[in-house]
Amino acid sequence: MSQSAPVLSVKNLRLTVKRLGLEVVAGVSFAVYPGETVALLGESGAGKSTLFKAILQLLNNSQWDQEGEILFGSTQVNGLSPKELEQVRGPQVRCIFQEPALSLNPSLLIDRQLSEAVLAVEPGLNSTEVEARIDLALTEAGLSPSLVKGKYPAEVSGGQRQRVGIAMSLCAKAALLLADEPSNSLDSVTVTGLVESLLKLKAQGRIQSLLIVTHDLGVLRALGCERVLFMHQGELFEVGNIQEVLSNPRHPKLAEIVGQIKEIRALEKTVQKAKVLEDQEPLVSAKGVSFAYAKKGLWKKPGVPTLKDVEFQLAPGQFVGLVGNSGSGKSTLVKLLTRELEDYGGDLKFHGKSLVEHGLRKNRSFFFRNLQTIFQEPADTFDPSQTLGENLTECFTALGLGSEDILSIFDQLLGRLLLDKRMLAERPRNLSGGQKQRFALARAFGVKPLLLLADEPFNNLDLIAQQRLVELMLERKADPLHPLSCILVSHDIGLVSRICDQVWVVDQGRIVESGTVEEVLDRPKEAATLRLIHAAKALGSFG
Amino acid sequence: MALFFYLKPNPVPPLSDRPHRPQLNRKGFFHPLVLLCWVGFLPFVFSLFSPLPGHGFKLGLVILAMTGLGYLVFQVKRNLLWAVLLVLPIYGFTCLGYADPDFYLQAAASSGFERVLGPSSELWLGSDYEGRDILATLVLGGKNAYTVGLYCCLTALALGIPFGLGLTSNSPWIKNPSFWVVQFYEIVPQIFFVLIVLGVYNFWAAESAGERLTESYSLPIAGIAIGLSSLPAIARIIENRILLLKSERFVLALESSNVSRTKVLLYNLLWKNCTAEILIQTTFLFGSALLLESALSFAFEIGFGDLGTGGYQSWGKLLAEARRSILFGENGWIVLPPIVATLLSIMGVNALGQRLAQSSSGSEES
Repeated sequence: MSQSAPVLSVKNLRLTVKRLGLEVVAGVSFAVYPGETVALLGESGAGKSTLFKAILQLLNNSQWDQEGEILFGSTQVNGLSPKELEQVRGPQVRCIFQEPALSLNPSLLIDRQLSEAVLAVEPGLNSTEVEARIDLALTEAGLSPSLVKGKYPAEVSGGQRQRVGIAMSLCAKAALLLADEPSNSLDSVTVTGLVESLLKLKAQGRIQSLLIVTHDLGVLRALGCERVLFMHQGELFEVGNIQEVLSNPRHPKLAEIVGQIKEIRALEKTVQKAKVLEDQEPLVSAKGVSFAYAKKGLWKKPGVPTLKDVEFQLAPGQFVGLVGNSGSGKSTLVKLLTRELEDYGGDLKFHGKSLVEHGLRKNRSFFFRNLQTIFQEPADTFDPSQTLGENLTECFTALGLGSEDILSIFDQLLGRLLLDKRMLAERPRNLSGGQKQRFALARAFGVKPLLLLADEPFNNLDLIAQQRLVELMLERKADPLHPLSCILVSHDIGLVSRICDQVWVVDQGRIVESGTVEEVLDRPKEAATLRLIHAAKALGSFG
Repeated sequence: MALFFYLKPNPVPPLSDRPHRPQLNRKGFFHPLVLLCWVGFLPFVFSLFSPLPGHGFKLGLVILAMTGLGYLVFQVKRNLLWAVLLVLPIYGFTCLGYADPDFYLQAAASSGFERVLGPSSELWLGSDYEGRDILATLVLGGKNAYTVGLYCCLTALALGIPFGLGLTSNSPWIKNPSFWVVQFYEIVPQIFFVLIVLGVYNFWAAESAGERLTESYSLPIAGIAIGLSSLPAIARIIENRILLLKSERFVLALESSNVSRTKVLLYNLLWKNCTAEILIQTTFLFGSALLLESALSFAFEIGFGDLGTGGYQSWGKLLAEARRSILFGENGWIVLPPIVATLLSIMGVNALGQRLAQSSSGSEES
């Protein structure tokens, strides 16, 4: 492969923050040859995103010093004028950004935006050809074109918007496709679709090579990466192909990461599935719960119902996985349970009392103390202008804890979560994302809740935080006095099957299937369940 | 040697600790100059009790206090230094005006000097057409301008914060009335509103006093009227900021930890996350109040509004009196002192606001 000329070659690239003199990327050299799929691994803060921005020449030159060469084919891109860069960025290199749904302009029609993307690369096309391109790209991204054309981004659902964002990156030819954590915010069915269409595009030769940043090993395995690059503290290492990385990591830091993944898997194996006792009083029970978001307007009229006739019972000490595609109503159910949304129909009880009763002032402290939530992006859940100590203390005080209780919580938990007490005096912006996530865990587990609601907790957590989360969850579950129950919201049925006792499959506002993990996985009855199982298998998340 | 010790710059933290804020050198608090900074507040006390007589003593004290304030800023926030140095003269003017009102009133009232003398060692800025010391009138004008600005800012804050919070309310019974009030002041032109308020006030005051008033207008009333009409500036910035923050995840996290909504709104959102913005906006407001006040007194002096002349000294009034030099075509320099004083103080206040804005946004990024 090395005989042909590389699509992208980076030679001895150094990127320095001018103000701090901090070297983020330190002398990196690598090349991507035609036909290759190259993966870039690394912890957060290793300089991956900065390297990506430098390749696309999106770094602000007044803040960054760039040394070295970035070559696309034979053109050096660093130092080119914006006009000349236009010739490179469209036809030579395209990018799928972290949140494809956010890369759409909210006030332009979707097909207008897609045609802009096509015409930027191939200005000579006439309108029927452009139309054909758009239809093809949308179909490949898993959307029927008639569904989204002629609409504004706000008029389609979140999942559809993500697919439109992906279609925008796929609709024209490119020598190199960059993908920056594309699977991060997508549900597993969409991710498998994305992987399939990427493989197809490469097979048809519409993109030559692919450079992908991700920490999702399932995606890498499914794409069949030939080479893996590993980045650590601004330096780059070649570490062979994906099988080698998993079996025999060469770099000590990489070995540590792979070891952590294996440790989490091993920890998950120790899960003992709890039996449902028939005579136990349920911790949470729902009967005929329905909910519809009110439409805004002069007269408030109920919109399309998001939840219809939901019924379930959750016994203490049970872990339940709530799975379903994005837009199926999982998050709405969680928001009902946390009392973030009110005005639901039906009967929803927690600990023997209805949620309306829990909303009374005298009951609120008990309710919130026993029902803790881990939010989707736990690192963002701290007041930026208060120190972390003040943040946690404010929450604990509101839950009725005295200062001695709070101090003992800090003593017990912070060490276990690999946090230092001195960090309590820091503002959130001075800590890394992983540290903030672990502080969020401390907040959730500090008060010994009876029910933990975790909304996609593994999506954005780094590995240490994931490991501690699983450890704490299992430990609290075994606690005889305060057995922890958990509702784990996820689109990854593989993950749920490893940790949870039961699986509830949500589709279009209903719980269509529920039962123990074995029952649901071995004898799936509904199409929605089958789709999820298929996607999880394709990404290898059962392993 | 001791001075060298105090002036030693803070040690540069190693690279790994860079995101941390540079710590204030605590010893700096006890530096003699910094201690003198607190003395800067004493002129206000002197204006009430006056323990020591003598103009020169008070002048020296004010200058020392200004130096101390400059040094404190140099220690705490170095990037504000130039902006603060621009603002310091107006602070000094005010201190002097309050510390020694009799001295300056006498100097400004006595018309014993010859008319339109150039600057000399006795009269630093010369004398005007009435034969008064221009420096003394400048000091009194600065004091009055500062007073109006202070009243304006206090009124705008006291009313702008509740109305701004009202705008973010979900209940239409709170939101709509706040909206009407804020929009009313957005629509009405500022200077007309202030003129009308002052006219009505003077009419009422003359009626109750039973005679035609010779005083031009009341400083606190002018300040409050300007503050009322610039209430939207504060209210809107609070509305924007809080609506933006309300959708942040940490609000949700706090509310699901049983922190009451009122506390989240008033403590976490308003006090912890809006103070910088409000402070910055207030400095700009102060600058615009200075400008409006001098425009107002200029207007009254040239006979606009039929409220009479005399009474308070003001930079606008000085300028209006000096404008005849342009008609006569001689002694044109006499218009310069009030113009330069207004220009410098407004520029200084605006530079201070801009620097505050920069430093607060910069600290959030890093």
